[in-house]
Amino acid sequence: MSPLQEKKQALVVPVLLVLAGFLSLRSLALALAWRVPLQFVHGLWFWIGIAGLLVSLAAIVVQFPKLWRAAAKGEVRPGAGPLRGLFVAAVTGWLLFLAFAQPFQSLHLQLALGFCAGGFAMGLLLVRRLRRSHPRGLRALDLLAFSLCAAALVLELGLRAWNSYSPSPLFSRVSAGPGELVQRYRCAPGEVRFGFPCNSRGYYDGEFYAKAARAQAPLWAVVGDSFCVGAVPHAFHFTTLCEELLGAEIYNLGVAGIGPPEYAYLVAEEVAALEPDQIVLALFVGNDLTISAELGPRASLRRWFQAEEVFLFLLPRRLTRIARERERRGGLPVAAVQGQNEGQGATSREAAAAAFPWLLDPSLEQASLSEPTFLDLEVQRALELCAHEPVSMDLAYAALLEARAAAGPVPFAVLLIPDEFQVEDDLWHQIEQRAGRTLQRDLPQKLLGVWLAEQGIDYLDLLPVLRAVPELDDGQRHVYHLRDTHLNARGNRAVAEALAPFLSR
Amino acid sequence: MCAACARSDDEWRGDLKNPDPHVRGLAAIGLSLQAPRAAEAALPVLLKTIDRSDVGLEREAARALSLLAPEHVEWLLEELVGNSLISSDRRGAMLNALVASGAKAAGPIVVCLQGPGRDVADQLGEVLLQIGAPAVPSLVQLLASPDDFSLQNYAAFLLGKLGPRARGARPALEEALNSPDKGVRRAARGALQSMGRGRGASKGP
Repeated sequence: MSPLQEKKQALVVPVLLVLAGFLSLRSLALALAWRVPLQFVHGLWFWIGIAGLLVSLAAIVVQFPKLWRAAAKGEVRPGAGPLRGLFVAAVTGWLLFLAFAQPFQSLHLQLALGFCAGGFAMGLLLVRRLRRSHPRGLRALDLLAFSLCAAALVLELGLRAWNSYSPSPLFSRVSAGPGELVQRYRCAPGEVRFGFPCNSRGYYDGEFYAKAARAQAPLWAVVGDSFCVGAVPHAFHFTTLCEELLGAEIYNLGVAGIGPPEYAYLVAEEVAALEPDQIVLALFVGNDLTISAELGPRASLRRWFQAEEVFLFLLPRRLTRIARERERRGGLPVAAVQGQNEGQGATSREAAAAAFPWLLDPSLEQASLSEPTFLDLEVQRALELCAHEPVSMDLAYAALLEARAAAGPVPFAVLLIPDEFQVEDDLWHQIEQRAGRTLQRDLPQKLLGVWLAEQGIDYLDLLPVLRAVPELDDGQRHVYHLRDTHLNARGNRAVAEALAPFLSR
Repeated sequence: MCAACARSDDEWRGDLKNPDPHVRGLAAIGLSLQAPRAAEAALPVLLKTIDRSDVGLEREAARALSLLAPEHVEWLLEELVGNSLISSDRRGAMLNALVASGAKAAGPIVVCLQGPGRDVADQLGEVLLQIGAPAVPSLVQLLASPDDFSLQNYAAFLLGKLGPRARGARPALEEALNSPDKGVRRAARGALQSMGRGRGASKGP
């Protein structure tokens, strides 16, 4: 290496210190600018943070002149050590932010940059001391820290690459666009559920035909999530029953795990081309209003600094949840509906009823989820929906408007499907006891009803419909499959009987 | 450096419209603390922040609302009465903020009860009870509501609930014993009893 190159390399550390100083100073200025609310929110921790930033700046100020002089005299050993240190500080800061500073807020990230820079400066100070007293220990620590940080980053990048190549529900993230989510969760063409094959487009229905190839009869298109995919055989699904009651055709476009943004996507990309006479969005109140916060402002930053977007954090949580549920269910498949992979050839109603006796007798239903998991899920939904206006309500409204716009001149309506806790009183009482706060059971429908009326969008609220289903001997209405959250055969029948007159009005 | 970096009231107001809900929430809190009298624009943002569990400022927004409330009681009452679909969290925060306003809130609450506040009389009554003795003069005013026996009844009921703290209302309650309305007379009698030995058992309006 030439003397000039050595000199340049020796200047790396002072330059990095200047950068670190700039970041720390910037964070300090930001923290002081936002002092009034930050102090109110964080109390003593705010001042501890300020002290930390001041100590970091002091470390930088103390080290800089010495390092600059040493670099100018050629006394600094060139090497990649400082850059490794920077890498370790950056990755460690990233992981600590993901672990302790969630949910992601851009202001917190800007402040954290200063702490990270300060950590780097303090690390340099420590390295200089350790180099004299414990050189071998320092080398081992350097190697270990760098290896761990590199492994974490490579693992995350590898998982992201794998996700791009082979998307699966396990890897799904908020940042996935509607098109990606639809493709990820759509049934495979020909996939058999309850003995009935999905059509060539991956929908749990017969084949879809363009207008020119269809019989001259009204066509409705119903777009929805797992409620349209259904937890019952095709012959028992509310769209099939409704077809019989109306004497007309309904195309059922259901994709599990999607919500209003994906409904809008489907209306624009697939439904419009079918030229239906009316489009109905089946909105499940239980989770369609809590669109797992779209990334919104600073989306690119959130992809790396929001824990739900980083596979290193997301996958262990998901796998732990799955493992825990599997243990609770004694090794049975997780969240699989009873009989969905059985009943080969049972495409008629009679054959399905014979193959799946619980369709006609809910007392024979087997649960899809363990009791603790089911209750946790329902309590979480109730807290998100009934304690206050759902935080992403505006996003849901925007998506519905987008769907209506995509429908163009085709009449557009919404079907509101309630959550089970809104229908079954025993479940609601359990939730009220667990929630520990006042909940308004019908709040989502009230809010939606007001908004839909303001927008001039026709809708059918299924809450009173399902509440009107008579209770069975045990005092339950049994319109949802046992601990599955989806409608059973009784529920689908009740929905169909309400939907048919609504569509034909 | 603290003073040089400090944000102005206008800067806080500008950030009330920031697309980031966390920034909006902090700006509303900042404006409330820095300039409570001029922070009316922060009120709606604070209420929304109370409902935003994704932002993580619910408790602080509720606390800031309580600090701001004494300067904006009428606004809070209008919001409480005018919107039946607000969440229980928001409603609870507004009611706590009214309680924190103390005597400043009692008069406007009574005026509200005589108008659109009748629909939420139980909630406003609970606020007056929590305000306690400082609410007594306003309750005496309510007891004197002309030709509105249900409000007079309710006022006497609330005074009874306050018990010995409402001793200042004794003359008004003794006058209410002569009311042409049986319910008012009964409530007044119960209230007077609760100021001495035992408690009244009157019902609300």
